[in-house]
Amino acid sequence: MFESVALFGIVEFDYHAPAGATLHLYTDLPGNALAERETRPVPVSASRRTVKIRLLGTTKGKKYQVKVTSGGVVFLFGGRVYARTLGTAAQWAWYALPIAPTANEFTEYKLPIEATAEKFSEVKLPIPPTADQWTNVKLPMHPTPELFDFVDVPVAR
Amino acid sequence: MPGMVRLKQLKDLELYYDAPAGLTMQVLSDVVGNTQGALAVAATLVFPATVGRQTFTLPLDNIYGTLVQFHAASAGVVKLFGGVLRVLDIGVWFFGGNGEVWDSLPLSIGI
Repeated sequence: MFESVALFGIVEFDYHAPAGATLHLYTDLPGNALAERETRPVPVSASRRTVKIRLLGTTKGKKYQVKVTSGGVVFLFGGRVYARTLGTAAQWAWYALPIAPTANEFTEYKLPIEATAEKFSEVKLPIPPTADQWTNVKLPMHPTPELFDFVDVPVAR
Repeated sequence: MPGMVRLKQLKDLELYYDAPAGLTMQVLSDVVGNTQGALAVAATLVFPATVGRQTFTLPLDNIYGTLVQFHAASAGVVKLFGGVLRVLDIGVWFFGGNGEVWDSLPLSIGI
């Protein structure tokens, strides 16, 4: 299945390259060894855009490899190659390049802020509790003896 | 570390807060001006003064980063109850100025 020779026509990118970039296309034909066959400039972009880069139309190979270089930052959101097999009735078709997909939606990240409770919590004030029952407290009175006691009477002699 | 941490595009920042004197939020990023380096201020958001708790969202257009940090400051008291940052994961990115390239590795159309 990998012996079929493909003819390469277009490389398309969904990208953002404020400093521009360069496309390098490698194929293994002729010579059965991957070598750089074409280089094409990728235009400077002020924002995300798509570009179709036309190739020579004669570049072919059983294997191909794409590299993108730049002097600045490059964002790649997608890419594909327009190719067809030689020697068959196959039509031209797009083949996706292995570029990690960019999400279609924003995701949310919570800031590391400690959560605020949804309910009030109780904090006891430092007031001594009131007893549930009455307690006896003795009054400061000297006790009365239960029996009579002798007392010396001071008599003069 | 490019290639290990996916680059994120920052969309906006939503705060749930109470700041009678207002609140200034600095957003620091390691990707400022399409170059990667130390954390630097990428945006300064001015959240309005509030009377009680309020939720407010401010945009962060065209700010990217693999690392971000937030600094909140105010002339008065601030109560922060929560915050949400909305981001987009970028598929592939690289800094050609550092010698990085994007490489598909050898492929076959498989027919």
